[in-house]
Amino acid sequence: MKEELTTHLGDRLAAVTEACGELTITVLPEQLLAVARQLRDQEALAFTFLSDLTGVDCAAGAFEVVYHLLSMKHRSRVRIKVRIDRGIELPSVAGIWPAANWYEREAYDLLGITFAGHPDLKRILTPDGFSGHPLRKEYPLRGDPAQGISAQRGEVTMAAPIAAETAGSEHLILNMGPQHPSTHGVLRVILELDGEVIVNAEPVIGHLHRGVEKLAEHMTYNQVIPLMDRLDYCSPLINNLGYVLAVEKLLGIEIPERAAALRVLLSELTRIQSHLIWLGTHALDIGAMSPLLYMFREREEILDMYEEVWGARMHLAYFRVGGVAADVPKSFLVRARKFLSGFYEKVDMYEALLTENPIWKRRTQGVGIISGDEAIALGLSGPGLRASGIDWDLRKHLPYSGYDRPWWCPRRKSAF
Amino acid sequence: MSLLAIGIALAKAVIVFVCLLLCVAYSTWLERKVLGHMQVRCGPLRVGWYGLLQPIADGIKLFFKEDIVVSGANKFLYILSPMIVMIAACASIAVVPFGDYIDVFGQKIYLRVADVDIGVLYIFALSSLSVYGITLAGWSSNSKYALLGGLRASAQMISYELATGLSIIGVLMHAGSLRPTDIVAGQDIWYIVKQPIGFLIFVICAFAECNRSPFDLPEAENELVPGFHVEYSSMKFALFFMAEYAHMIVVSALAATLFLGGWRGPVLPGIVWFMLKVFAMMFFFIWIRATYPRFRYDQLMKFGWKVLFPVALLNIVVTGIGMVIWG
Repeated sequence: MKEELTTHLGDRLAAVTEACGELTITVLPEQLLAVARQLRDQEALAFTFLSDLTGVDCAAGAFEVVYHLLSMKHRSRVRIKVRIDRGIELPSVAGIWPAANWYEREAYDLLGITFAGHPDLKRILTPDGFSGHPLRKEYPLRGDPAQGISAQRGEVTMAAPIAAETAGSEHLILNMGPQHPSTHGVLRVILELDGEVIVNAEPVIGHLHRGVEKLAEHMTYNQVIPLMDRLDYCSPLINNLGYVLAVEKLLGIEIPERAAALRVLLSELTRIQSHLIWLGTHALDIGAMSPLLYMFREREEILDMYEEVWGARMHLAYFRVGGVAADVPKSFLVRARKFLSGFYEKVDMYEALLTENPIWKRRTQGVGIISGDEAIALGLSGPGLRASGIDWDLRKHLPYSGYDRPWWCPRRKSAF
Repeated sequence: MSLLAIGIALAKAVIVFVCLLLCVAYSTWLERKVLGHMQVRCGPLRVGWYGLLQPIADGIKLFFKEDIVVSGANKFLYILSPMIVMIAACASIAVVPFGDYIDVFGQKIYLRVADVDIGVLYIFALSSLSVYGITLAGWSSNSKYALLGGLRASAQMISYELATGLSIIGVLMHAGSLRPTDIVAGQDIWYIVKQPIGFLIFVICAFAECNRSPFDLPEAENELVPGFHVEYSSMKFALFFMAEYAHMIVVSALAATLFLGGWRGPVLPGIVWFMLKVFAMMFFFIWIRATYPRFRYDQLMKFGWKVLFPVALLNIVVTGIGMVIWG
């Protein structure tokens, strides 16, 4: 990939570097759009997927914006780094990768980087009426006392939607959340209704934002692991895994084979219980009450296994830089085997209750379809991306952490 | 009318009303218990033996809750609507016959509060009234969620009332009367055998009329929080809650009377048979709730108007033809 990059983009790149097996190109701000377009459109590159966009406060009055790109066609990743001085605008790439829309809003919100040509550059995570940019190095770790409690906690304002409603529209503006029976966690959605039909929805996603990046900056590598548990409390270990893999890559650590296998085993169990919560609460939201409780029964067995492995039931912090915290007890493997052999039967029951249920099918089939191209453009990943008909599974196509070892052999009923 | 007859009528009314309220209280217990066991939980266990005193504890709790009238509500309608709903649900039970008669000191006492010759029509009229309660509750609460719930309720109940009315026409054709006792007397063979499609439509519509899952859209808690009664607290909320269960009991009693032979059955006394049939229906209500997801609003309306309504009409025609051919 390095050769391709230099042949196609050679004169536009300031530098191409490779560190820890990761490829990074540095470009000047004025070259960014041209490079981005070529990266996406050149057949030999085909970086159609923007997996992330992050900002870095480099101190000394400069920011670095990092674009994390993925080429599904060539199964490779590349990073674009752009360095700008504070106060200088950067062209928005939202026109090239629509996924950049929210990411750029995040960088604008938390670091104060402005993107020229962004369709709707406004704050995304911090509350209404917030001022300042919390991820800047000079912003105090415990918050800015000058802002006062109310501004930091965020007073929910309804001014804008109410104004829209009184402007003579026939539509009803309905505020859903942050506390609502079907927002698991806290999510606020401002809905515009035409009778029973939602014509517009504006999500307010910042209620669960905890500024983990800021906290992590003030900790050692090992201290950060418990924070990673809490990124998604439904699948704590998988977030642990992502973090420890990154640290291990930076430090060049090889981990023992048994630790790798244990990580995969526990991650996959975590995946099962996380998906159970998703499916159960989803069914609950459309009125099917029982599946959730059946799924919690199965999830309970996995949580019991967690407890046997490392004591805790939700926030495990079991993976460590360099391996895992301790070996698993023998009884764990017996338990896991027993659970897995019985689980297929349970899945058949879920199928009978949901996928073979005419009402559930009517409620879900043909609703909210995202085409494959849209999914890639919007940066959809995981099961959502596969549901859009894209055959992409990182475990299969860009294997990590032992997913390429011979002992990893997924059984799949229906593949592409 | 002699003084004795008035006394008996009053006593019957009071006894039936008290029994209905007790049944309402214990159907909440039944619902929680049955649902619990279907969902690998226990249901109420702590208050009394097997949680049997739970409904009483709930009642006391609700009495002592703060009674809130939300600001901006239309106070008159806001207070009136739970009353409408409760009265409509309770008054319907008056014409349901629980049994034939019993002898008390040589007095023949018929086991029904009133033997009205248009009894079935009376029940339908009252159940239509309860729509007003729900719609007005949603409208008077000054809340968008409640308003949406009230709107859904009015559209749904009016649509499904039509199919309910049509579904029992077949039974009325067989019985030749609107008097519940005549209908029961006509069932040497239960009408469910002669009118299976009518029964099916009646039960489906009964679910919709009582706002029960899978037609519980007016109070779909995952969409509308609890819908039309979101702004009600204390006993005003409890009235809605009790009315829902009373409505279920009345509808079950109606199903038993119209389709399942009423109080008639071998060996056991009539009133026992009647209660068995009513609670079998109640169990069915709960069972369905544990099994099915909820319809979407447009699907619900389509199902009512495009499936149930024409099928119910067709059922009448087929019944008519059948009666002409086989007498």
